[in-house]
Amino acid sequence: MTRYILRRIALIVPAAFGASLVVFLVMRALPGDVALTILADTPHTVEIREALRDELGLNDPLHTQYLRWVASMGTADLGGTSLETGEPVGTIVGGQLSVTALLAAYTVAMSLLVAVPLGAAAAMRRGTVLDRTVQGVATASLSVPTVFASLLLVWVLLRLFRWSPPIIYSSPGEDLLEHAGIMIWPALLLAAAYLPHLLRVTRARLIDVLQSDYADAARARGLSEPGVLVRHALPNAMVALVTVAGLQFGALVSGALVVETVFGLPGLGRGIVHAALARDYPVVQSAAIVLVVLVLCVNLLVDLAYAAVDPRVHYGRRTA
Amino acid sequence: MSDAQGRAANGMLVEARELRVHFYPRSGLFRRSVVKAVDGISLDIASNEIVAVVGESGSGKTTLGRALVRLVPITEGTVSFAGINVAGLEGDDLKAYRRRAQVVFQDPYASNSPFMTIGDQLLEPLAVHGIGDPSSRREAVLRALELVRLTPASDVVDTYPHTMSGGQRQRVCIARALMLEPEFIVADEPVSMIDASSRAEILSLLRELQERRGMTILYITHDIASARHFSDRTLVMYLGTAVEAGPSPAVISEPLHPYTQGLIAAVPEPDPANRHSLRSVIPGEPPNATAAPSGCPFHTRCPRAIPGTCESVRPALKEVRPGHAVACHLYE
Amino acid sequence: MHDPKRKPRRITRLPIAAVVATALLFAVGTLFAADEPRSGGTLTLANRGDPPAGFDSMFTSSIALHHVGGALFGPGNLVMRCREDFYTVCPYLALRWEHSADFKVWTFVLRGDAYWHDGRRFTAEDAKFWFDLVFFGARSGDAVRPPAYFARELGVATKVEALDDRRLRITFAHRNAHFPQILANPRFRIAHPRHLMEPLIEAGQVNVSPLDVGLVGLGPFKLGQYRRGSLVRVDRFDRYFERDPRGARLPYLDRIDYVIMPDPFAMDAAFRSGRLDGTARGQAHFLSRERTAAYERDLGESVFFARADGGNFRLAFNVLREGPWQDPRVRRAIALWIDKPAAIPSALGGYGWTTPSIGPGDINVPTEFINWPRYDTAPLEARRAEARRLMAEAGYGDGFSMGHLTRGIMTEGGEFLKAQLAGLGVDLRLQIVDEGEWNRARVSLDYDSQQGRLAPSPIPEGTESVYGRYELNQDAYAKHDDSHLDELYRRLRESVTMEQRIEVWRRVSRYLFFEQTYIVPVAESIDVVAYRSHVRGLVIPPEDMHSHTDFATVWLDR
Repeated sequence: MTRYILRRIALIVPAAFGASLVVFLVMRALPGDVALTILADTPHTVEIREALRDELGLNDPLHTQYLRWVASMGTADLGGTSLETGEPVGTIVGGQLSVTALLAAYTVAMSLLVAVPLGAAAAMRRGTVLDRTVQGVATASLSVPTVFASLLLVWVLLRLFRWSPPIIYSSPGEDLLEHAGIMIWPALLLAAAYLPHLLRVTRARLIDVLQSDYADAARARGLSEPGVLVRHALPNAMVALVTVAGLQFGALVSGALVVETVFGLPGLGRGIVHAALARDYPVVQSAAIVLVVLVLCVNLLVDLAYAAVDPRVHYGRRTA
Repeated sequence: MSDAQGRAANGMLVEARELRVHFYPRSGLFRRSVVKAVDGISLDIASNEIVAVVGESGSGKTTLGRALVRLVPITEGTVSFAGINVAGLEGDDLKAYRRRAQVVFQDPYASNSPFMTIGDQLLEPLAVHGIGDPSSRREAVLRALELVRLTPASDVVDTYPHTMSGGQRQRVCIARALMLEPEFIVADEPVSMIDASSRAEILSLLRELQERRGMTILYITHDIASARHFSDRTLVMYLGTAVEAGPSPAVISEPLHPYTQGLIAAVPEPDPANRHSLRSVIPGEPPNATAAPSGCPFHTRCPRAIPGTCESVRPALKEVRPGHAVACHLYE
Repeated sequence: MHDPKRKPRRITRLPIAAVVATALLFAVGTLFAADEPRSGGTLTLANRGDPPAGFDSMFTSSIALHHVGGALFGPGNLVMRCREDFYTVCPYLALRWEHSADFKVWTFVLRGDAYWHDGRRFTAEDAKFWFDLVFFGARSGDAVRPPAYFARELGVATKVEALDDRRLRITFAHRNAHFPQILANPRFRIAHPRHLMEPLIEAGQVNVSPLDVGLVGLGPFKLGQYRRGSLVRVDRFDRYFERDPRGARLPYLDRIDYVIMPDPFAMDAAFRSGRLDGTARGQAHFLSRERTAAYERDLGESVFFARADGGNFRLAFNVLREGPWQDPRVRRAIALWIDKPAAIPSALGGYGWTTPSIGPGDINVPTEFINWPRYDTAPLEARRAEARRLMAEAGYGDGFSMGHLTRGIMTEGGEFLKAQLAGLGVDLRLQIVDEGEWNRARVSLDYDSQQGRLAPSPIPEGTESVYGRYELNQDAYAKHDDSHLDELYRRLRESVTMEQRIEVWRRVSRYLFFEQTYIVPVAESIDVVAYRSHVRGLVIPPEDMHSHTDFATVWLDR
């Protein structure tokens, strides 16, 4: 098992660097450069611009720039310094990651807390008004793009209640209440796109299991319907749930890109958009790597979770 | 009504009368349709008896079995179990009934929860019914495993189903059904999905248990040949109705109903001497369960259908020989 | 002795005068309202983004910095634009100044009660350090820090000396008669504490930024907290030297929260729901008519709007690239053809004006500053007939196709020009680009024409960077290689009297916009920001939103 985990972690490294190379090349294929962005609002001389380009290392050959950046990934700075601001990339991306990771965690937690009981209720009352309503709302919610839902939510809050979500982000350590006040809205919106996937798979899987022989066997033994659900159906549905939760995680992160902008969260999504527009290469590359690693780690966790919830799955040793 | 051992005065443990189980598919093309899975079956099972229910898939035999143990709701008719009306049971009464009537399913792969160890699966019925304390329950589990010859029991307890073969899993299912020491077991095609070499073993295990424990078994199968060896009496079902019923040797060696005859002809003949004999195999597929034919439900496939009668009049099940009844216009 | 309290010239007959007067009314009216300013409170403002370039005023003039930088670094440097009168130079860190007879040597006497936020007193050595960085940059080993982007605008200095603790002398290689006028530009902020930066520069970190040393400034507010991407919080600096007319210490406010809000939609929602006291400044954040209407609908009397010159919406040609537009007649024809007032609703969000009465020979202009001249005052029909004639004469009677670099965040401008020029037979092919590509392409020769709305420096000398030759500054709006403009700008810098200066500036603009038509000024845009009515004492000169962003005189009436 440990060997398996180590091997998987070892595989994340080349995947991350492969992604970084792609991001590097795509960024360089885009016209424009960060020196011009820094000087954008400023009448400037060629001398200033060239000095800036030299300082930023933009005049070096491409492979030198890439290798320099790769080398800096090994240092505490994690990707050198931002070309735009001169701050260590590690500080920038680290700060942003904590926001996005919290947002994702709240979304996943909120989605699970809603999707599992609701999916279970729908599965147990299959075909009823409750089931149809839940399914209808889930489908509708899934088909509204997050960007539109965000704008709509803000607009509705404003028009109906003359109210808008807080605007100053606080970390949970600084002010938990303020933190919750600003995070709940984007988390709700992300959950609206994420939760239906979980709900659907929970419902579908539970319906399968509740109709299965072993559910009947359990009923025949005298287990009550909730007992069948909790002891037999849910553990089984959990495998499918974990799979879908992992698969949709990438989509969740890309949704974070949108809501972070609308709700003023200083997260990775907004950071990467800003850095890409500014052609702040080290920041974009490092942020992209962080996202790739985040998604790969979540996938690894999902695979490990299989082993935890499903006794049939074993890693690292062969089974008969 | 019932004696101390819970048997009805007439010696019958299970008495089903005009039992009907109808399903109403909720959506799709058949929104308004009715599936009459069991459509007016009457059946008596004596204590310590093995009754086989035979039929093609879709004949309603599995539904009949599930109705008897209340895994599907009964639409109409009565089921009396040792004098108790099973159809109306609810709550604690139903739970109490579950202790007395158990079921073994067809698919041993699907009827074990893959997430629980064998031990936990066997413990569950005891825990649900609050029988014994943890140590006595564990003892009971080990005993049950030994009873179905899954040894060494102490090793088997901690394994998961996916490490076992189909035959072994079915033994687990049987052991699990036995945990509550039921009087009645519905064995729904218990050997059809396990490899041929294990079938005889499982059946003889069931037979042995029946004899040693005095259990009553409803044996559901599509394999009419196995019914001959395993059961005392046989009921043949077609499209939710009983077409023939009687002592197993009589039903199988002298089948009266054209459908039963067809079933028997479809059985591979083990005796090479009989191989040249012409087989009449039932032509066609069973009709759709939502659109049962009028009259005799079998008339659309019957080689001996009587024009003008079979398609309009439904034959009743009538005793034509002692203990041997058939529902067919040929015998009227 | 130069008199810093020189009376401004009268402003009459100017459409801009209305705007000026309104804003001055706001400024003066709220500053000297009958009720006394109250101290305390937190002002919450939106800022369009994190200030770029480590808050370094020598390398960026982004409004994202200046909206925040005024509070941290103060409204001026040695001198500033007066709060009551934008056209006059007031003392700030210098109390007075004098120049040699040939305008080459300037001596400033500094005040003794200005302190850095960490408690160090501001001295002539500090001022020398800043001017040295501005004029000469820095060098340590191989590392080179270039001079400030505005060094050329201030003139060519040869020497900066600290004569004693309080006196600073700057020597120029040429006559620099208007140096304090030019220096009073609010963009040129002192954000560079010598005692913190010098050791780092000597250690090789020549490009140390104000952010690197903790944003220690001289302004009325000191840094409280900077959360990247989220918040710049500044708190009252108790040792700040400025006082109000009653003798009370400035600033009045306890704190300003600048909330980083890159998304204008989010900013609108926050302002309309009462979470903001003021909106952000910046291209996409300035309000359109539609948005102000929504603000008014939600907030009624409790909101007011401040307007300022948003720069000229222009069409500029790349005459270094092969094409019909290399013919001055074609450029003239395009200038004559465009229905300029029509640009205001469609391209400028409903706020703007055209100024047909300003032109050469019109003396009633606040002449130290740029005003966009309008030369083509004939009726539109007559102008368009002339335009067609010129096109035919140039051999393009059937029209031609011309590429047009269009900034993604202001496509309305491109659409407007495309629709207009279609009638002349000019097919404008819009190349819509994101900010990164805009910043690259606009300093390149890779396009036929471009548009934009950047406000050039209000100082004539400061316009060479955008009107001069491409070789001198690649960000020039029109790409040309016309050395006649070199000569005109040289004469502008060398002029001694104000009359000379005005005369040269008029020749520059006539040459640029009329004779050569390198640039077609279309309409002057107005930038609009909103504040809640309880925000008092704001000073927003309509000529320049970068000014007086220190908010020292602002107080809250609630």
